[in-house]
This record gives sequence, C-alpha cells and structure tokens, in this order.
Amino acid sequence: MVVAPAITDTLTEPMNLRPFRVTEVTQETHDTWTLVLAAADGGPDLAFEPGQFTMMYIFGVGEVPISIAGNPSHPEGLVHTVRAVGAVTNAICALRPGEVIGIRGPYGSSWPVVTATGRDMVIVAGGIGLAPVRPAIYHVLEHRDAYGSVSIVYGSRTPGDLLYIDEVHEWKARFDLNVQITVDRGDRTWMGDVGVVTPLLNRLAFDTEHTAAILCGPEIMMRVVAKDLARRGLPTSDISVSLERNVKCGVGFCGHCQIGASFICKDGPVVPYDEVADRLGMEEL
Amino acid sequence: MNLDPWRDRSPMFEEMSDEHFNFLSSLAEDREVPSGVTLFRVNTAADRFYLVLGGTVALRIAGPSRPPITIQTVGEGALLGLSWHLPPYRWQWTAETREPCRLAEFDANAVLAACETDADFDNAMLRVIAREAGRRLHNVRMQLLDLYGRE
Repeated sequence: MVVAPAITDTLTEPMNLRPFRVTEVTQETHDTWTLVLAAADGGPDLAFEPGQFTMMYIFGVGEVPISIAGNPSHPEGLVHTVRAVGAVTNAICALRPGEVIGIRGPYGSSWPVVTATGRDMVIVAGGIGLAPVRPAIYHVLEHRDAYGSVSIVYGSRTPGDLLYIDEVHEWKARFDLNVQITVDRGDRTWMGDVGVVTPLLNRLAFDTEHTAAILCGPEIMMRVVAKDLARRGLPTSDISVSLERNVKCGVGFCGHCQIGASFICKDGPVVPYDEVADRLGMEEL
Repeated sequence: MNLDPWRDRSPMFEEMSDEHFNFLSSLAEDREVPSGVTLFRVNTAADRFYLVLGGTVALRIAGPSRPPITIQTVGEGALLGLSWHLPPYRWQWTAETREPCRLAEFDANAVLAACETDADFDNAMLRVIAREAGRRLHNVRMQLLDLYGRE
C-alpha cells in the first residue's frame, strides 16, 4: 500500500491562524487605533523582532499585514497600530475588548538594532511609519548605553495626526535622545516645526562612518531621506528601509508582494537601502 | 564674524570659495534674539538676510478672519531670506522667532554693492539663492504630495 507523505509542518504552520483576543483599544488619532491582543488558545506569547509583521485576519472580512508596534521585550501583549483605510482595517479599528481575531506570524526581516550596537542611530519615521519603528526605539532605549548618539525624526500630516503623543513627548524630554518633530500643516496651537523632514536632518549629529539609519514611512519620503543621508556621507548600506507592498500569503508563496527579485514578506519588509535603491521609484514596480 | 564652524555645516556655503566665504563672513553680525520677535514683516523692505545658527524661525502669513498661518519653519544651518536679492526687494513672508535664536545677520545692501563690483562674487551669491530656492521648491512639492495622508 502506498501511503501519501504527510504534509510537513514547514509547509502548514506558516499558514495556521492562532486566535488572539483584544484586551485593549486606544484611539490614537481620528483614523488610527492601537490594539493590544493576547493569545486566546493557551499557547505561547508571540515573540518577535523589531520590524516584523503579522497577518491579521478578521473572520468573514479578510486579512491584512500589519507591523508589530509593541515592545519586543514584552511580547505578552501583541500591539498593533492600524489606520482605518479599507474594509479590513476599518473592521480591525472597530474591534472592542473581548473580541477574537486570527493572527499569523510573525513574519519578515527585522531592523538591524543588534548589529548596530556601538553605533550612532538615526531613526526617521513618517506618518503611520512610526508604528513599525517603535519596537526598534524600545530596544534602543532599553539598551541605551550600547549605542552612541540616538536621533529620532518624525514627520506627520498635522499635529492631530501625531501617534503615541504622550510617549513622543517623553522621548523628547530625555537628554540622551535628539527628537525632532515636524508637521506638513500646523494649527494655531502648534509651536513646533512645519515642513518636510529633510531639513531637520541638519540638526542631527552623527558619525557617518559609525551610524545605522532606519527609515519608515511613505516610500517617497524614505527615498528622499536616504539620498540626503547619503549626500551627508552615510554609506547607503548602513541605511535600512521598510517597504510595503500587497502582502497576501506572508511566506513567499504567492508572489503578490514581489518587487524585482525580492518578496517583501520574506526578504523584507526591512531591507538595506542599497539593495533596493535602483528599484524604488520605478513606475509600476 | 567668525563663521568657520559653519563652513561645512550649512548648505549655504556649498561650493563657495574661501575668498567669498571669508568676505561674506566679514559682513555678518552675531545676533541673539529672544523668542517671539518679528525679524521681518511681509511687504516691508528686504534689506538683510540671516543664517540661522541656533533656534527656529517661523515663516508666517496672515489672512482675514483667521490667525496667521505658519507655512514653514527654518532651523539651524538654513538661509533665512531670499527677497533681498530679487525685485521688488520686499519680504514675501513674516518671520518670527519660535524660540531663542542665534543668527548671523547680513547687511543685504553691502552684499549687493559687492555683487555690483565683483562678478564672481555676484555669481556665487546667485548660486546660493538658486540652490536655496531649489531646495524650498522641492520641499514644497513634497508637502503638496500629502504623503502622510491615506495612500
């Protein structure tokens, strides 16, 4: 009798959903919410590296890739910050404590916070892009003595669109961090900077030979910032960017998130800028 | 005024010869300005310009029935003021310090007089203005893209 070989765990496990229960919901801005989730299957917490993402599945609606926004040292609460822009994300943002969703992952590559030990850090985030770099910021702050100067530049649309505002103010108050914030459009109460993020890079002090830069935000913003940092002498191999494409399977099977020879879900989302610089900005890629 | 520490830190001095940098430095005056001071006001004579050495300056414009709008802030290392070089030599915006600022102030009339007699220096200053105008145009285009909005 011929027995069919068992489907290996390698093939099946990456597609398995685990139920997670919403334990906390915080409205960050008019269209963005942060959810804290806990495993509802009695299984282990979801350990992750800064920069990784999960696939969040709303039963009967659909599935989307969302970066993990929590502290990697405290995986007991799986934290996701989601902007309501479509059917699935609207459903996620409408979740309330007690409700259960499906989670797959974590998937993807991570920010090079470990290999950057001993170096200066330049972290540039735009809009909702602060969420994927927040785990890296937590890591750097928990190991602050292991790094040189640390700078965070954050650009947003308006003051009302700034994420994690209390936390950002705490970072800004620290003497061991250089935090620069700007908005595209201020309001009558806004006394901070107005304009794009690139002029703020002039206010950062870092050693171009010993610096790791991590950039996350709209792709056009990342390209402009990367070019500016390179113009200042930072090697493009020391710049990491987080790319976003139409991730579906999350494990490199389907090819929906392909950009050139890379799959964002498997080879990314975090990639060295020099490996993708020639592909970014290409029309229809 | 000694601007040597800013020689490599400000984009204003990119590609500028030592001779022109030293001459421009000799025309600069060191100024400490408290927060909330109007450096220049829209539609008044543009007879000076600044290099921001510390602090932030807001460029603002006022409209009827609404508070002044800040369109841009200018910080460390940035050139503040372009209207002094172009007719009608009047400010297009109002500039107000957002925090205590340290500025290098340049007498625009002295700079323009030097441009009249020295074609190379005139060319160097034109490049300064053109590069800064190009940077601002690029930045404004980026702002117009509304990159952080829903994509």
